[in-house]
Amino acid sequence: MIHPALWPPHWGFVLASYGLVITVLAIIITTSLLRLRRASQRLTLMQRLHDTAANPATRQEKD
Amino acid sequence: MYLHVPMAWLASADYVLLALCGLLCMVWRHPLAGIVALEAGPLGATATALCLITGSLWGKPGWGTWWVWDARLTSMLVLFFLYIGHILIIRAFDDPVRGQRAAALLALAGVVDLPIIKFSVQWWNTLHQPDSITLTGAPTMSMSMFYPLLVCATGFTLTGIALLLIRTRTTLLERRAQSLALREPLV
Repeated sequence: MIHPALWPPHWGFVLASYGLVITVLAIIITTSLLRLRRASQRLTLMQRLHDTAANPATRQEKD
Repeated sequence: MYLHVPMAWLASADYVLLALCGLLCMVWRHPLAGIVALEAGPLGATATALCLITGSLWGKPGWGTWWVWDARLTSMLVLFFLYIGHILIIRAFDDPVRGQRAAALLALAGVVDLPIIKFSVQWWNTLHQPDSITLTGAPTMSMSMFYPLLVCATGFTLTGIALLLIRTRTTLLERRAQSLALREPLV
């Protein structure tokens, strides 16, 4: 391990900058992908419900 | 620098996109423009906030202060408030089209801030350093720093585009699901 005396100057500010940007990016990417997944699942569910409602034969089979 | 500068470029480029969407929304009433503007606002606001915070984090060791009311810093702060205003206005109306048109007006009016940001370091005597990279001249920084900066800027730009596409697709899917739910009774 490099001795702290040899660390780059203002390493705390560097660490804070990179840490902040990486954390914010990770949060945005994760929430965006989760939102996309939820929206896809909801649309698939709605389409399935519509198909079932539009096709009574399928509904009777299921009943 | 590898974070602050790409974030500043991304924030400005995102606002140009927001203004273009505003123009498309106002003149041609393109429905997709409103959705792109809806999703570009938060991304641009995040890039602007990160630019301001990382700049402030460098300001302390570099200038000895977290913040000064410098022309470049203040105009960037104004850009952040424009983004916040856009985010609030576009979501403030029950009718999304009215919200999009009102936000488009703000986006178009706010474009005047972009040249102020760009030329603030030339027009006024500012604490912020002048541009190291221009479109017309050679960069004033060392090439060993210039190429990593280009790599970082390209990476952040591509990430921003990917996020914008993902979020726009999500909104389109949400609206399709909503219209299916409202169209007719399901059973």
